[in-house]
Amino acid sequence: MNHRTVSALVGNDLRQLARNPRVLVFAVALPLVIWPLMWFLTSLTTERRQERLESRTYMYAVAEDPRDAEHAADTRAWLERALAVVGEEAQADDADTTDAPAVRFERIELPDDFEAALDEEQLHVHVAWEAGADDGADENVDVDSETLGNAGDAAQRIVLSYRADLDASDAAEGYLRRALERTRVEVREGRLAAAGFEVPPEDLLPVERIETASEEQTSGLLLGRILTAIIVMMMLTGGSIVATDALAGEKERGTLETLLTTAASRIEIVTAKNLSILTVAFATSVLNIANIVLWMQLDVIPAPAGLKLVIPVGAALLLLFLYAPAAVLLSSSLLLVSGRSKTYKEAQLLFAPVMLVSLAVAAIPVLPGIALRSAIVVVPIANLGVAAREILTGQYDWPLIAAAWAVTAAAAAVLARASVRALSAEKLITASDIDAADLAGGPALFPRRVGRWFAVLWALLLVWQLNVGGGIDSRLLIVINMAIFGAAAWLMIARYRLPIRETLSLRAPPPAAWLGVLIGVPAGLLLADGVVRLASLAMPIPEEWIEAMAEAFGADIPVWQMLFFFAILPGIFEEIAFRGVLLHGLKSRFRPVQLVLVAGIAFGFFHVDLFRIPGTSFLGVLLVIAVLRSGSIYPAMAWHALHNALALGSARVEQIRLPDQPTWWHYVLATLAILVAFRLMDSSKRSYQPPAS
Amino acid sequence: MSTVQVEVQGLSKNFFDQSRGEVHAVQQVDFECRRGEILGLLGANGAGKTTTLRMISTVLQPTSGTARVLGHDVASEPVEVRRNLGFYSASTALYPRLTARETLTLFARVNKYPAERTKSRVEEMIERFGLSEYAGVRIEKLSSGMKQKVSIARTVVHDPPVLIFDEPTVGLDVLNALDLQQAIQELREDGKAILFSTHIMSEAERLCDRIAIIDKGRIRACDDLEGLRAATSQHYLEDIFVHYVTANADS
Amino acid sequence: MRSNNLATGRQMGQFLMGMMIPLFFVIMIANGCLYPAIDSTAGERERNTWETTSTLATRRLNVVTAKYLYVATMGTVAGALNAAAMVVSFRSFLGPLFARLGGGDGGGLAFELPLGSLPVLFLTAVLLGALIGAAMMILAAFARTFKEGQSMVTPIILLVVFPVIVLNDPSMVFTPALAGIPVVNVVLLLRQAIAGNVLWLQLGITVLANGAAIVACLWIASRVLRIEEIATGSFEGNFFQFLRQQLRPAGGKP
Repeated sequence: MNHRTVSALVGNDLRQLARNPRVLVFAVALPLVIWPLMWFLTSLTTERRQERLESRTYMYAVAEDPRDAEHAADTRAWLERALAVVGEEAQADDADTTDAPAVRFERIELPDDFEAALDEEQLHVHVAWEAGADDGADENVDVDSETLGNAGDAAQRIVLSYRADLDASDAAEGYLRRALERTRVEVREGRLAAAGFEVPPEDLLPVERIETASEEQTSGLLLGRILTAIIVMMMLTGGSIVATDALAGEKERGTLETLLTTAASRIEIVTAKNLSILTVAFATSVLNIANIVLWMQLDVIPAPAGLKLVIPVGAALLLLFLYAPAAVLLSSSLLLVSGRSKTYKEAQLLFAPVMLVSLAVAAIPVLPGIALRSAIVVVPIANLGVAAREILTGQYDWPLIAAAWAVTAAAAAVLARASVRALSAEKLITASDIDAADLAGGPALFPRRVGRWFAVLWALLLVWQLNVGGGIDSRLLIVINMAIFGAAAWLMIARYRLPIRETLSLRAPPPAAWLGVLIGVPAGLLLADGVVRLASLAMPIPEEWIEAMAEAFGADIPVWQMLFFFAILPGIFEEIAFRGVLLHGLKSRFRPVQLVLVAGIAFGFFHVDLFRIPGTSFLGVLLVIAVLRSGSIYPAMAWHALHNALALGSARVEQIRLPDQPTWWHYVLATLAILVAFRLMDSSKRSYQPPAS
Repeated sequence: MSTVQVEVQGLSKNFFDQSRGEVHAVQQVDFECRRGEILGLLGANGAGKTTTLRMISTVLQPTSGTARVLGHDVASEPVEVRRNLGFYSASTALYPRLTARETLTLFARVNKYPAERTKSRVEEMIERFGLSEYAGVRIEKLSSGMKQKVSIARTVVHDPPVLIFDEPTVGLDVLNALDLQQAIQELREDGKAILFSTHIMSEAERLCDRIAIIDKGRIRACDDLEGLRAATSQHYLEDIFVHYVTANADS
Repeated sequence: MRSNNLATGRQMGQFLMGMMIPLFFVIMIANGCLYPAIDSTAGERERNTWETTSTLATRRLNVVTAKYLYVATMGTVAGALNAAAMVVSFRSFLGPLFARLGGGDGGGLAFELPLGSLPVLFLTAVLLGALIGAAMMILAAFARTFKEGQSMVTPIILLVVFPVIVLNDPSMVFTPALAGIPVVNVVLLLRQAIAGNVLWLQLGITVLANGAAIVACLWIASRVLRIEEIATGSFEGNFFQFLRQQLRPAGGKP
């Protein structure tokens, strides 16, 4: 690599950017104004909301419980004490304003139907007592009031009823609950004193919560949770300024071809582009942070509370080192997207998913309870985020920090290589956006669209099964699924005017193919079972699912219905959709081995549950081969129906069980049988000609 | 033969297109180009001219066959090949926000021209192509004729012995096209080996020392104009071209 | 002491949806208008199809109306689809995830839109689509390339998204006065509708306010497009230069 070439290229990129007023205004200057403004306005709104909440009067009602007069008096005293100090904390917050509004609570008569009163907002909090001692038995206990405990005055406890979905009620409950919490100690002290304890209570029973984490650790945790997401966000917004232009923009303007015919190597070009992206991303991030800090210094926008943290130099350097591969990974992925798009527009559209995925990964450290010493260490960026969080709270898990760094660095290297390859991918350099197929439409266009159709179909099916799937009769579910497949197949055939006979391979198979099916089905079932067993080592099948399946295929469905719904219907409709339309669409796009795998696995993915995918993918592969070998869809239909029937039978009929402990020779025999079956299906008049290599 | 600068043997290129399947864009192409010679590739649109030239300039990888530029193989030494090569086509654009001088400096550096001579070389190019007045103006503000001159200067700024002009006159008006032809002829006199592709007969006739007629990815004939006339007993290049193309359409 | 939330899972679900859906609804409508607005103006110029379109045997007004309807429809559809998609994803993913959080009735969070909110949702989608579409087309009309169009339309996105994010405050009371502010009123109206209250007075004012804004935008658009240079795309400048030119004392007008 020649540093002179690289620096010339980087210099050129930066110069282009500096001379582009549009980008400078919209990508650099505007954010400098918008972020602080947004921050300012949001804090203004929060403040105003606070004021509004504090300045209003909240209605409360008390339900008297006459049963236990003595303790009731204590509790009533506690409530009164709390009502006297309610809202003090709010005033303490803005001590500089003397005329800060006070939170007022007003007692009203207990309405006949206090729930209706809460609903109409005539009442905000309903206070009642109930006998204590059954702490935690109620599932609606708020976690923090439970942990703060009320062991001392177990006899009675206060129940605040409110409506969390109504703002005023929610706020009233918050004020009152906090006041009660604050005064609890006081009331207890008073009671102790009354009982004869003269010792200053703070010496006796310090009830303050003992914070085991230091202040640095707490704010370190806070920062650690969001730091990665902030950095990723800034890197991406800053980096995308250059990245869109870097390859996609150059392609569009025709300068990429100029560049590719110079003596700069592909690696030099990619390195230079990555450096440009990193430089600009870094510069804009620094600019934005400096800008925010400036406004905070000027007190225009409030600094977030609890962020008074000084990171030690060592940790800061370590963090910088940690984030380096993450930065390269991000810039490489931006570059890759740019390199794989033909135009500026396309690149912009593709950036959105990259942003979403990166942010989702970067937000993982926000989730509590994820330690670096877990599977997260193999997830690039997320692992560094979790590492950073641990470092900021003072934990240094060196071997795993090193592993996390290595994983992300390796991912960055892979992506960087991929972007080098994108520069050599001739399709991307030469093919024009539109060609004859686009203009002609119809069958020629279908191979290019088939992926989209099935992706939409998959999404539809997923949404449908997630929302309704579990609740209805399994027969109805099957019928609807099959109707969706059938309708989709019909739509595609009609839309692209596909020749039906050829698309669905509707022709007579060689007679021996039927024998092949008979041999292939049991062997295929045995092998599919083996695949499922193998996969369940990695992904155990949940018990509930097995139960649910047993129930779905329960004995209350007659055998003939069982066969009709679970064997014959799928045999027809799934074959039409997958071995007919899908296979036809994919044929011209893949070479044979790829074709079989892609079409088979796609079929597996339509069996939404994760653990069903391996087995059904395997079946899909077999069926695709059956169609390609015989040139006809009928053997595959028969195979599919018989496969399902046999699988059902093995679950319900004692005589046709799969071997419980299959040994290797079971599988060898099954594999041989499958090979024989495919041999028998071979048809000299098969229609499928693999694309020449 | 030391004067052979570009040597192409059995060069082929197959594409796999999603809708058309396998496409044989270039098949078994052989030719060579010597110092001080303009070799014209004459063919209709889609005949395989651009693909051939892109393979020589290493933008595309050949499926089979070899091409050498000053003895460097395009597959194994792409950077060396490109360093000795200037590639000009209607689709190789310039950075609109750079000035002419910045453009030339950039490309001299990227093409690894010796650092100490870069500055003088850039000034020499500005002088030679009559760009002095506009050297500090951004390219987006230049007329198309001026842009074209900068483009040629860009192609030769690192003084490559081999030049490729891929349909350079597409979209140019008559005067600009003549200017360009003039410049190419001058470069031949400097001793460059020049590959020149076009679908315009008159251009090929006027400019090229030898003409390779290319059709459906194959070279149908490669000779100087006299040789082609003798072989086909036709006088005009149009007729010669039609002769070769139809002869193969029949077979 | 314990707190007892009496809101049902359904009410909590509506509260959460009321906070989230209007916000994304507005953003998605703006996004839905963005691409068609630029593509049908600047994009056409970039592809050189603008001249073809303007030589069609129909009045230019019809062409522009058709384009506008296209943009507004796309925005409306985008908003409606996204609202639907959000409800679906709330139900499929958030519901099960937060099942234990639940409401006071012990049931899990339930995300169900009240039936009465559907017409409101649709009405506001149409209003916003029409308004944002019109505003974007005015600015996009000045752009010659897609990229230029993007930078010219960005301010509209900001203008729309800003108040929506800033005013995302549950304590805000939807007064008739607030109903007079376009876009903001839609957010507040929707929040109420999702909680099950349709406020008729505010609804009326909202329709009027947005309607007035739409008419104003369309009036400006018609003035802009009446000017030959802009209609043919030969105008060299942006919206602000155009304004300056228009506001210049008489004689400066073309």
